[in-house]
Amino acid sequence: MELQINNLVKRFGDKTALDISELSIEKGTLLGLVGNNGAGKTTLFRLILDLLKADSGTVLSKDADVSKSEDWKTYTGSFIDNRFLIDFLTPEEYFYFIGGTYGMDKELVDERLSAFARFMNDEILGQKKYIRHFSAGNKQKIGIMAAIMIRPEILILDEPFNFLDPSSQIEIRDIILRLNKELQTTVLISSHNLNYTTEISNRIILLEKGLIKMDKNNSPEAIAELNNYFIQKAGYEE
Amino acid sequence: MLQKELQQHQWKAFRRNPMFERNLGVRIFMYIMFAFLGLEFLAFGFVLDNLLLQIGDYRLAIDTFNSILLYVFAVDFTIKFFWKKDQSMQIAPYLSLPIKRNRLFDFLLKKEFSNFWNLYLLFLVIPFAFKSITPFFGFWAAVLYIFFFFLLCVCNSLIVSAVNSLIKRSFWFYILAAALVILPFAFPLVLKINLGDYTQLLGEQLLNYNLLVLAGLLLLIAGLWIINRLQMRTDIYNELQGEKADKISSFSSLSFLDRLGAIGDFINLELKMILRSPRLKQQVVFSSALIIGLFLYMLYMPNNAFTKNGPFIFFIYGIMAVGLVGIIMGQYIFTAESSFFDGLMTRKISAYELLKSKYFFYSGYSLLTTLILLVPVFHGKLNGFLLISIFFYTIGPIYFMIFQNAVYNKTYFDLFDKGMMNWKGQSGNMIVISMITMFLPVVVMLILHGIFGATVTYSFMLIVGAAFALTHKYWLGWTYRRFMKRRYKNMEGFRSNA
Repeated sequence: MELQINNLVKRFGDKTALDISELSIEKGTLLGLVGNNGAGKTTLFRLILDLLKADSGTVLSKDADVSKSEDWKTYTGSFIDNRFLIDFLTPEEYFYFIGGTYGMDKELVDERLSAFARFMNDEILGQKKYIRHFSAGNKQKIGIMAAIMIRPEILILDEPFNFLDPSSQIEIRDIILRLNKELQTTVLISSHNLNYTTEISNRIILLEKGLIKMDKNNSPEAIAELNNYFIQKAGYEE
Repeated sequence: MLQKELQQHQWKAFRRNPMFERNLGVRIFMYIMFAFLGLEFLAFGFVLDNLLLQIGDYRLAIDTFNSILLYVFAVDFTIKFFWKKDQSMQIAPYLSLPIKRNRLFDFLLKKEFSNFWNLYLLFLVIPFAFKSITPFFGFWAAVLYIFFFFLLCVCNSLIVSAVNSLIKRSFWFYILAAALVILPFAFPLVLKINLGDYTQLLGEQLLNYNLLVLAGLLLLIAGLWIINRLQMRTDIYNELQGEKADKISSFSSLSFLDRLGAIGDFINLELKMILRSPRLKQQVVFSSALIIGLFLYMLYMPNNAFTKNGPFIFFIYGIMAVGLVGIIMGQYIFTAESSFFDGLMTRKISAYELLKSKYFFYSGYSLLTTLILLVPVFHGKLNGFLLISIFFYTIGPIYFMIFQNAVYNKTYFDLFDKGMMNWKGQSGNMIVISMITMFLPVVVMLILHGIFGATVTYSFMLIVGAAFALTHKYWLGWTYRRFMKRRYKNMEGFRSNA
């Protein structure tokens, strides 16, 4: 099993942000995590990435507890938010630094980045400016590329379609699909964009107030159920 | 109405700063320091007239004071240059509201009149003015003088803001800042022109109610006001558009560090962080200026200066010169990385490597300073044995202590916040550890020196220092393990304070 979650609970004060009794994710799964604001999507990702201390329970990555072993870092790529970016570096410096920590030399980083040429749209490399001066969309692209260029076995992206223009959304959708297909990368993405999430995921999990409300393989019935859920949540009848 | 609302927002921003909400230690320390500073200035203000009468050539203390005003404001300029915070971005949230932008800029500029940095000298000047002016020129002349002096403080502050804004456009404007500080000293030394005579005359005119002097100053302030307003407009648009006026740093990396692998990568990252963060850069520039000053002092002081002043000065100067950058930067370990710490912790990077790289970097800086200080050693101004002992003592127990910040630091540090000492990102543990680091080793040395004499003390420093330096892997590992136990708490702190 690639990822195994057991009795995972995270509370912030009196509020339970996440409570998952059991969740298994197999290698090659492309998991779409959906839910309204406050559902616990980012909290779950942070717990998987050992950025938060769980009140109870464990996250096992390839059978190793992520809070006890750091081995998962060698094969996991992730981008949650701008706190993953070193914003006083230029994109080139950032990619080379990240690549260097994974033992990649500059030539290899350049080669891997060349695959993103269309995604970058001539707006990222060679701009002679620091990451902090890029637009939200381009920062998002930099973070996603840095996570993917290491060719991870597990990829975790929080709201990857946010801030991206329509063309880039299509492009990132295809990049994720290719990665999953060619390298059998296990992908976990959260998104509010139901269309893209349901389009690319082979498994969909719906979270509500920290609990798993639905966990199904992607199918027209699952998508219909999701749509109904959100319509009802918006206060409309089915 | 608008002015009042904005003032209320500023007050709320001040009161609701995470530093106030979370850190009682910093708060108490800050209050005590300000109270102490205020009392010291006040006390000095009461005796300043006697002091000036003894050292000055003029008949009246106020004349002597007026003759040294340019030096006073050169020092004031330096303090403000390093300490004063750039406030222009505070009005960013209001720019899209139906408020005229010039009103917002004026709001910030009006704050100069209540800014602490323009008031602190008044603690000194108010008692001094009443004591030295009233008997000769009358009560109202003293009041007028205090008002005039306050306006000079505001004027100086506006000059600092204008120069800081120019520095954002080009690094070369640092030369202008240095020139403004050096010129008052250079005039009498190089050009043999005593500017003090002119400032004394102007002061005398003012005390005789020649209001043209006051009008001239008001005109100067008005000019600076307009310049600052124009600069704010440009700066804020550059910042909001993400196109900083200053060019990208030409420093890319020190290629010889590549041979060190991950450690070299981290040292290069640290160097970039320092050079590209205004706040860290200012601290390192300030420390380096202090080290240069200490170097020159050591080089040109009389041979018996240290003997005369006792070992305290001896130790504190040595440790400051060799360890200051390490101590100042060391207090921000992991806090300086707080804005991208989540990213670091999910990569194939160990925080232990990061700690090790920081240790090598600070030790390298200490080694460089030690090598520079060999010059006074060769001139017979400094004991070589002591210098070597101080070097090892610094990279040993002193860095061991400062690295404990890595375990306890959990405040967010905005690398791009302007102003060297704005207390954001500062925490109680940082202050306590820094104070202990600066003074405890000196106290230990003084006690040893008093009981056993110089040779035993220097030998002790050398042996203890070398022992800590040689075992750095172990205590860094110990520090790392303790950090890992607390990491979630620290990371939550980095996030929640952002």
